[in-house]
Amino acid sequence: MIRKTENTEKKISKGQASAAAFTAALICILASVLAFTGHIDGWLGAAIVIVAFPIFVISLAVALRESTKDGDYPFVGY
Amino acid sequence: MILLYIILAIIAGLLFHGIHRKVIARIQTRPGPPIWQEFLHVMKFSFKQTWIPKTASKVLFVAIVPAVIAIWAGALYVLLTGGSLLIIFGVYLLHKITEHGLGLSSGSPYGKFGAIRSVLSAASEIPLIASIAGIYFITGSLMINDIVAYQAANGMLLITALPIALAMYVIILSKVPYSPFGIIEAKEIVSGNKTEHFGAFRAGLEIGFALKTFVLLAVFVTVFIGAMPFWMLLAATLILLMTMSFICALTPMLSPYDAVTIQIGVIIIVIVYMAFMAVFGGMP
Repeated sequence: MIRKTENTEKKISKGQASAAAFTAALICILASVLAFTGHIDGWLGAAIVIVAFPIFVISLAVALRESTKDGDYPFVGY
Repeated sequence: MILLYIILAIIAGLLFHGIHRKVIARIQTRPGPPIWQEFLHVMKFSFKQTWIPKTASKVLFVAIVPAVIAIWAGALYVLLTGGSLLIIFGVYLLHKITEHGLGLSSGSPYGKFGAIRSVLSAASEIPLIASIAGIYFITGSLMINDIVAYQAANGMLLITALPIALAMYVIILSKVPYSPFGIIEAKEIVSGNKTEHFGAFRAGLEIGFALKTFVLLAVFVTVFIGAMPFWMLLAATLILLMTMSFICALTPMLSPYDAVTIQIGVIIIVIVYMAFMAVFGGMP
């Protein structure tokens, strides 16, 4: 028997998601700058970016979808 | 600089997906979507409601999305630094695991079908092994820098080792959207392993898959044609993708059995070629 899927409660607030996105972006930029200027090894900078960048992407998308207002979601069409 | 290249690769990958769809549509005498459609998809999904199905394994359902982006960002770094093809092969295997996990994580029957088909289509890894082994036998190295240097001295592997390039081509073809080998996302199982991932998670997946498409195409161009400036790499990868668009437009989706049979046929071609080269010369 297939169980019916239901909405779950929102656990992450817009503020939390925005903070996570901002922090991850900051880490990515810092790691890139430090690697570029030779303060840390290139592979280490890349490793940090590879871990932090996906977190930035997901956090940003979660922050964008977290609407605090009623109404329809903005539609991006043709 | 890796951050810049990741962003450029994502932009290129999303644009490539849009061009791919456009070329397929024009071949099928449809107007098709605009080439920036995939950017719109990502933006649209980012603004959509996002929730996790009750039947899902929550941690896996969420974690699989950043994992897809991370592994292909890692593969891009390996490619840019001229690292080992074995690591790219490892990333390809990890991608298979993410495809499988993606389907199983939601608890949806469609997702599970996609996940099971992902295991079936693991036959595509065997041409990849054959292809990588062939490259090693010919060039004597699996480091991308060494392979590029070999081509500078001996000519493009695309010409001197065409069957091996063909095997790699089939592997990449099996991973582009609307591929005849794309059995894990066939329409009879809705969107297959991606069915239940939407909203923010689908936006992340689209970005990860765009990165994957660009990296795989760039690996092919680098390994079989050689090193080139970034703009020329973009042009070469686009031309390569458009040849695949023709195949995708003109070939119906294969059944899982036929997809696996063709991939095994490719392995046999590569094995016969390598045996021929070993007997009649050509191997270092």
